[in-house]
Amino acid sequence: MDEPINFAEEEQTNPKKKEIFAKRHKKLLIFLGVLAAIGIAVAIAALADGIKGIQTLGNFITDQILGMKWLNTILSLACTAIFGAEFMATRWGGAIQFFIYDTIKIIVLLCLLIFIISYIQSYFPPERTKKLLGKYKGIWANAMGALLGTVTPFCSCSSIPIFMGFTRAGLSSGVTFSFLISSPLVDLGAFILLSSVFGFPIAITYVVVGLVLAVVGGTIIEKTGVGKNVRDFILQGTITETLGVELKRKDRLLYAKDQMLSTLKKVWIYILIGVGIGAAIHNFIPTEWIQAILGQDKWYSVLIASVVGVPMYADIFGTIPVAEALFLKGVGVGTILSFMMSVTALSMPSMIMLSKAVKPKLLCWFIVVVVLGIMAIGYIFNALNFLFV
Amino acid sequence: MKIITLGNCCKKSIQNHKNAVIAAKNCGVEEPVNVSDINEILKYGVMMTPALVIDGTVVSTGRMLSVEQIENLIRERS
Repeated sequence: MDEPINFAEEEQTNPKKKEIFAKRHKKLLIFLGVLAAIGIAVAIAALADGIKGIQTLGNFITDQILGMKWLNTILSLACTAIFGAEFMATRWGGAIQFFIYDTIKIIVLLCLLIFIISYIQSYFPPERTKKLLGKYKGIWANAMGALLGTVTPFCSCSSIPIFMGFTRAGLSSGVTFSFLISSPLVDLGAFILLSSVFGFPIAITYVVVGLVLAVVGGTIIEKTGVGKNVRDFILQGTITETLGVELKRKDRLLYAKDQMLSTLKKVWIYILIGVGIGAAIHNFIPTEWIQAILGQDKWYSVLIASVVGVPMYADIFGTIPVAEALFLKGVGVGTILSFMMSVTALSMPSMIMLSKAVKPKLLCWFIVVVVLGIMAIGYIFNALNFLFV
Repeated sequence: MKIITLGNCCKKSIQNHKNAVIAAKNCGVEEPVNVSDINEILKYGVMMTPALVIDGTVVSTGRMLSVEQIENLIRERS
């Protein structure tokens, strides 16, 4: 008598269980759905035209969606209508079009990206990152440090507290420096913007190489023992473990919006300067000049690009238009990567902040390791340039 | 109720403290105290300022809160 009742009960509870599963794993299901959609799109492209179809799809995404080439077409029509075809054929015409197109493109992408990135970052406050890093050992800890550096919100204002917090929590100097190197260098925003300007292969390469540099740089600083040269006050004192603050979705969205507005307020001037320099390079400086200084056949091009970039303080968003213009003038990929990395990874304000936390010896090592790493990347990529062009 | 705001290194932290002062006045609780020393901040386990501490519990880190948000946090705990 009992059994049939049990069956009936089970049948009743089962659909409920399914509902709970769907509710609990909503995020997972959405994620899988997006993956499936991407997979189907690629599959259709592949069925329609084989490998070529996938390439066409990739080019469409980088050129039209991320690169907004359609905007350039509309702008060129609009400019011709306003200024006349004669003016547009001159250098000034080209420069104005490049300036308007690049400014709009970068600002639109920046707003969208900062919003998405900040939302993701709200899941990785440094307090949590520190906790996560404590679980890893050896080279894996360095790799995780580099990876988490890409998603943890970071500004020069918080570099010292983070440095102190990590060190006091017992994280090795290598892990801390892997984090500090990758943090400004690699993030989702840089990846998307790079794909929009240079296409996916260079963007993926930039990210991978940046992470490798962070891991190797951190390891060198730790293994040579120079990582111990931190200022005394860093080690005196303790850090408490916080439980962390649970955020609701509304909080995260609000945080993302605030972050977007404050970042835009902070970097718009760098974007305009960057685009201005880019437009000038694009239209006024003869290709021969640039080729003479930064051409691929010149062994010193990477050296110049790295050294010039170090003291410059600019956001990755400001350097991309300059890099774009140099790329169009035929400068080697390695030289451009060196320039971008040295501008973003090392800057005067961050050096000054760091010098308060570490002794001069460690600061010098940090700069030397990063600059040499960036230059090595530049030379390797210039040698492999044929793969990208 | 004891409210502490952490950090005053940037505009955001200063604004966060100002908002906390107004919120505390509106709710009729003790005026918040600002802590700016990094060592003291780290004792709360916080690495991203601005942060807000109510009765020894960290309730917000790395974000500037509006007056209204702080008022809600105070009311939840009183």
